[in-house]
Amino acid sequence: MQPASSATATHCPYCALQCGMNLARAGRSLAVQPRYFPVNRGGLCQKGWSSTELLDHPERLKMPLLRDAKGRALRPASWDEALERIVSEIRSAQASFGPDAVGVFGGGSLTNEKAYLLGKFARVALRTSHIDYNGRFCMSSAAAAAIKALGLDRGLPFPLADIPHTEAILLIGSNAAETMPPVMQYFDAQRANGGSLIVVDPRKTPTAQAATLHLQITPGTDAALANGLLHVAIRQGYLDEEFIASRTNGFDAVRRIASSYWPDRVERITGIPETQLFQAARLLGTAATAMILTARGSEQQSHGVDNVLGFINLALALGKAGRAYSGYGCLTGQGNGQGGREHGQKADQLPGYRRIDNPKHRAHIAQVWGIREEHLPSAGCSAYEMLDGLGTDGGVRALLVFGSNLAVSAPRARHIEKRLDALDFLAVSDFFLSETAERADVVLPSAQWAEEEGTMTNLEGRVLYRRLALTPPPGVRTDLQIVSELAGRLGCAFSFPAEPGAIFSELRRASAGGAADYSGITYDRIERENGLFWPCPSEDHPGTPRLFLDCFATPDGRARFHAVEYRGACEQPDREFPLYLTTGRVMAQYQSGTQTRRVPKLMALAPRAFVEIHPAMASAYQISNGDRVRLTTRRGSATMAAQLTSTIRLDTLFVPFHFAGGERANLLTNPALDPTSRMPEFKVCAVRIEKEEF
Amino acid sequence: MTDTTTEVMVGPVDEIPLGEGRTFAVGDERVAVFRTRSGQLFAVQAECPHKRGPLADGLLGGTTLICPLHSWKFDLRSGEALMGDCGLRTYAVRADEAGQIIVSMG
Amino acid sequence: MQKRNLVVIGNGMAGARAVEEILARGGAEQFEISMFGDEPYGNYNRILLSNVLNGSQSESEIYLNPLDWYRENGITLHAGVQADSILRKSKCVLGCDGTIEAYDKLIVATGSRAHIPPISGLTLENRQYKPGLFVFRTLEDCREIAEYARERGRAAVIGGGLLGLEAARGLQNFGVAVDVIHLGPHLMGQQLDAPAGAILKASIEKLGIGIHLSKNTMAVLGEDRVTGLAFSDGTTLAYDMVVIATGITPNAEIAKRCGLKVERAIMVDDHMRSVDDPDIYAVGECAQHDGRVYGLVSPLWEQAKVLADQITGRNPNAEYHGSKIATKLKVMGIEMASLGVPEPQDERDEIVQFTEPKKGTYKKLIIRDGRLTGGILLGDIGKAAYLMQAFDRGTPLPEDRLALLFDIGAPAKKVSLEEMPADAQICNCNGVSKGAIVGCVKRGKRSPKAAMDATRAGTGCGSCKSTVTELVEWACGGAVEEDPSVHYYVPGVPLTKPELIRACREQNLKSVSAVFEVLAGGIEDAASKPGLASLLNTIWPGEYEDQRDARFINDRVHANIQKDGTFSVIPQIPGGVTSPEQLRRIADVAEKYQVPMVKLTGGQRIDLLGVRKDDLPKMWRDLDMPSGYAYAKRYRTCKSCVGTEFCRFGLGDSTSLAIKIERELQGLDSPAKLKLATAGCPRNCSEAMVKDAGAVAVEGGKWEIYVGGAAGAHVRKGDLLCVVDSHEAVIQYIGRFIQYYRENAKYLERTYGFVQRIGIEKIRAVVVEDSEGIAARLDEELQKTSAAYRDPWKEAFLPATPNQFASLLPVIQ
Repeated sequence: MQPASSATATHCPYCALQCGMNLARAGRSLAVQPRYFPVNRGGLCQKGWSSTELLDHPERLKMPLLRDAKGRALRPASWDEALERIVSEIRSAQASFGPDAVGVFGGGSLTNEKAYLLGKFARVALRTSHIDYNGRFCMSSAAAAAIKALGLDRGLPFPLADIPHTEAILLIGSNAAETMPPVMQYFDAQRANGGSLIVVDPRKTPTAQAATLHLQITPGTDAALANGLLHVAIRQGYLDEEFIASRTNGFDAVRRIASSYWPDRVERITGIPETQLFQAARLLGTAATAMILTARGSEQQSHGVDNVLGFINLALALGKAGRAYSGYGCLTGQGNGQGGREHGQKADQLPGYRRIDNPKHRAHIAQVWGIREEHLPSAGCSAYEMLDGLGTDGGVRALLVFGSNLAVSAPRARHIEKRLDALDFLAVSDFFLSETAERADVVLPSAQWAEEEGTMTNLEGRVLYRRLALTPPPGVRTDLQIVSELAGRLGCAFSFPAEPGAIFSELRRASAGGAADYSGITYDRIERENGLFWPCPSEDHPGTPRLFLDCFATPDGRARFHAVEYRGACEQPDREFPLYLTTGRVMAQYQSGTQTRRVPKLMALAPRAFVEIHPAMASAYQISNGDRVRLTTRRGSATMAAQLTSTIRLDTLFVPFHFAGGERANLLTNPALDPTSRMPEFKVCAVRIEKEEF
Repeated sequence: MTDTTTEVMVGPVDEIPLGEGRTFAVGDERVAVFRTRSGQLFAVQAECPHKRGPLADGLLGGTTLICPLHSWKFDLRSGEALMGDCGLRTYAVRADEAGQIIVSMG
Repeated sequence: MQKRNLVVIGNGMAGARAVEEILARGGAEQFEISMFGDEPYGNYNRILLSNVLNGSQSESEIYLNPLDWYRENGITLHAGVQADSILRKSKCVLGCDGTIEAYDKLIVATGSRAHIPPISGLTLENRQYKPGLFVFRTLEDCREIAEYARERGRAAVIGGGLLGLEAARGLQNFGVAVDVIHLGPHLMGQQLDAPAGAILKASIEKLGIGIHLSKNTMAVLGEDRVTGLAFSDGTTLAYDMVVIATGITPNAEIAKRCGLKVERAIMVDDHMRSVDDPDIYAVGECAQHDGRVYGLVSPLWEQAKVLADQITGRNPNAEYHGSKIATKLKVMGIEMASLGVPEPQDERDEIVQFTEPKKGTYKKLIIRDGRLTGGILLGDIGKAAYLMQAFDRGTPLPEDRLALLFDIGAPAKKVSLEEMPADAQICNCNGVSKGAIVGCVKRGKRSPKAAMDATRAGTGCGSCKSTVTELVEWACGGAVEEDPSVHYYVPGVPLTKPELIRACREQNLKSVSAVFEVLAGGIEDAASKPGLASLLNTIWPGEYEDQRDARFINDRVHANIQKDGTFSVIPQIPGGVTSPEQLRRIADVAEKYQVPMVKLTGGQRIDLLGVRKDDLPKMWRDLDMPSGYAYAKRYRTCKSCVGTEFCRFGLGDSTSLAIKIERELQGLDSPAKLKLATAGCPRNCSEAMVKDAGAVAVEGGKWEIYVGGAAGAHVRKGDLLCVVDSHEAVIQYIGRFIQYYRENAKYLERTYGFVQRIGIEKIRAVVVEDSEGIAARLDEELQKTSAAYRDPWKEAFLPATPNQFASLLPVIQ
């Protein structure tokens, strides 16, 4: 469908699919019209169709809010007053505790321009090492694993359009049918072409129901499954020895490990029957082409990186990587989860996917920013650790938050609330009074996606251009204006443009020569060519839809195997907490719900939190459908309604994480971190369930 | 934006009948230039990415082009594949006041 | 910090595993590690030994740590060196080859050996086992058993436990007759109770393995080699080989000699440390914890974890509290699983049991306060995966005990659309309820597509599309309209063919662009152009305003485009009748233009393939023959047999008829290509019955006319339209049929589809009986069209568009 001339061609504000949509003026507000874009081909989900309802939402913040002293209420304030307050708080914090006393917390939904500017702001204007973002709670395990094994982290190494052409897909821990519905058309096409889809999930989700084979895995046992599949593949002779020999390193250690994951052992660990294990191995092993895709289910664990490495091992051993219509990929979650982790809002990282601890990389960025290399701060600590240290000695005293509702989205929520309250100063930029903003000393009303232009990078690594569809309401400013204004008021000598185009061209220079090289990408080209796949090192470079076809991004061009053992989740069920708890999303809500919980249509679909429990297990606790139940873990407890469904494992409970207050899933989750990615263990912990007595 | 490009004059506009396309040899590159019934000009790579069909022999409707061999569909404005897997390389093209077609080669 | 010495006695699974766990905890920084191993190679996975014996896995596949692993990890391995003694005072280990290794920490992982029951006649004078007598324990044993088993008649396995049965399975693969001799009252006493044992026995005997229960072996018979066994009941049985698999004896002697407390094995505490020396640990089959010695892998690994946590100080709180024993095995296709103890231990224990001896199925669960403490599954182990986990993790069990033993697959029955409540959500992606869809059907959206467009149902993941379709049909009470667009003549103009024809006639639309302008809101649709062109030409014979861009390339250059972008040239050869002169000309042209391939077509013509676009007009000129139209949605050709001319059987002159037909219909455009044939007799050599239209000569100078035949991707015998008695009549009816088809068929609808859709009776009525009184008009329209015919190859002299035949234009400058 071609955009009507009056409409603005742009993209959905929500998930990493970044579906194309047209925004057409309908009276005073905007209406969503379908747009034929290579990613979604006209489709959208309810979140997308209703996305414009937030633009003129009554609860929309239209002026800064300010708290004169702790304990006092937030009151309206002028921009000047609000910004001055922030500046003085920053100054005093840094005066008494040093530069690192100020922290910046970003988000995976911010545009590339914002992510870039925030990173620069923290390092150049604040000279703090404390900057990180909520993507840590999302993508970091897959990212770390991909870099270790393949040398590069890009969600998918191929365009979505390749999916229908692969013979077999192993999809681990993703409920795409509900979290990014329009992507299902590719999986449907793949099966229509005679391909097979294997879904690994503790729940028989709509995605699993669409699958050729569903492996209903025990939460937290992914690595055992990966090794088990490899064991069977070895025994059945499915290996691609030629590929292993010519394009990889380190298989022997992995072969050795795999030998001790014989089928009945793996069945006992994962709960997946041997027969299904063999079936899955056969589907993958005998297919000419195959894709292995992971998502949060296997990544948000204290061994998330190992889990992903295990599945990458499998892909490599079968020769299903670095070839057309084959490869390992990760279904990124947040709108700009990909771009957000490429341009420097991560504590250990600089623009263009450069490392802050690499002298060459530092030198390049310092030169682009026009500062002395030794003035670049070193690596700070990761998101959860930063939050954990808020208000403590040596920790962050004043925190600036952009586009993140961490009071709901961070693990061990009660604890995080305490940490936030322990801050000397908290400033939040958001378009609604989120649960985090409520605790802030200064709240800045920021523009929404349709009210500013900028680029996003979707799960394919396709850089997209978001057009400005209407101007922000009076009193509202864009994050870019805010940051650049703050930099100015802090008397920072270096340039902080507020205009996206200017920032993007600086970003292009900064990223030049880096892993995520954007230097050949321009707004015009993006529009002309329906987005461009990075790396794109020059304006005559066509972009890179498919990675690794000739060689991997490692120094020697070979993919690396990593021998990983199954170590299990940090917390196993015991007599006190006898069941597994896992968390996830529902269709009609997004992330912490700051946006979606304010859309009536969506709230009608998913108004409250609930806990999924198997009827047979519910009967053991005399729980019937709709009963209020209390869930308790070692972190805390939450109450919600029980939802009986036989689509979930007997020993497992499921809670969606979008909801606030006493229904927060993250009152329960385990903050145990992955040693490499620092990803918290959102997806597995031990829980107790009781019926609420009144 | 495209400062590295060179402009090439490929010939008079009326060499291309309305609603049709013709293939031009620009250096060792082949470029298919189309002239819609409404008079707009578009330039894309000469061969279909699918099986190298001669796109200039395709059917043009509005800004949509259909390859003569296996009916892959493209939007000439963006090169986007409307049916098929991968899109076309596009070139900026215009007609000067003398009615000469000018293609900017990236 | 100065590294301490860690010595490990034994590099079997336990020893190696302990070291791996220690390395995983950074032990390499703390310890210099050295190991003693009796076997001269790295350690292997004993669990899989029986797979090697039965050939399902190769030796190389079961190695856990080959020798280089020790090297890579800086471990000194004394391979093939047995540890002789532990000197606790001087804290060192003596190897029997004189090696001395001092230790700060020592791990004893000496494992176990086959338990040899008190049987006489096991050995020869030289104290070696009699040839034919084996234990089943090591890779070495496996090799020897395999070696010896070939060309042997009968073998006995002493011991009807897990290992014994696996040995028996292995032996069977070598074609020997196998008996299992078991001392106990039933098989697998460790894992099974009596009834289960009985069922297993029956199943195994079915597979041709002899089972002797409560049979106590007294002696091995035979002088220089095994010849049989003697039993306590006085009986004897003859065997060529005997394998002893009566369990294990921990290798604890070395520990005993140095004064460590040993009962059945070395006694260890919850830290896996020997109860009397804080620097000595024991792990695996040589260790006894809380009175139990484990012979399986998983306990051994759990022990290794705790040991590593302790010895490295990584986790001082780590404790071992015994292992839950569960095993699964498959003996000759009989699947079985056992959990914990086979019998209840406590009067509180609840027993759930199911037996079906006929099928060899037995299920028994032992439940204590809502949790699984033991169980047996035999035959049907479908629930094993779940039960083992429930057993391991002590998860509370569902109230419904039956569900524990069986998958009572009561699939939630699909609620009928009637029953479904109005607020039931149909499209989850877009939150569309049944009510919403029914409502919009009531408001007139009476097709699935219309309803989906209106409600957005199905625009997300699309999984609900089928349900929406059913729902719309249901809501329409059957009176569903399919998507109207399926009736459009072309996708780009929202009109059916009759509507479109009327609109064009009424509004005098004579060009494709005019049609788009007036009837499609000015939006051109590429795919629709050729269809419209063809239709307009049908409606306005002679007056149609031809726009070349509306034509498919074949029609623009009057040749058929090939896969490589070249074209084919097929001159007209009516009736397939040609002449030497014509052939010569064709040959010359083919040579002159270096035509890569010259081929006879199925339509009795000559095809010149692989021609460059630029050469087309020149070749036409040189050929000086009209186009054969082998490229367009038009009348193609009419093939024929030689008919009465020369054929002995010919009944009618099919050849000249074919030629007349071609003169009449040449170049005629139509919704899809038209291929005709005439046959001089029912032998039908020219296949006239499977053509779009065909005439077959029959007795009495008559012609049968068939229409709607096909022999392409779709094969269909044509329907008999009518029987006539002259060439002229044939031409008239075929022509009239074709004109009717031209006016009423959808674009690209071949006649076989058209005839099926309309029905031959209707067609016969219109065409033959003139039921609609349009026969005259149809004939007249066709006349006009054929009068307007002009050979397109004449464009060779006068191109219709600039660069019409240029495949590539040079750039000026």
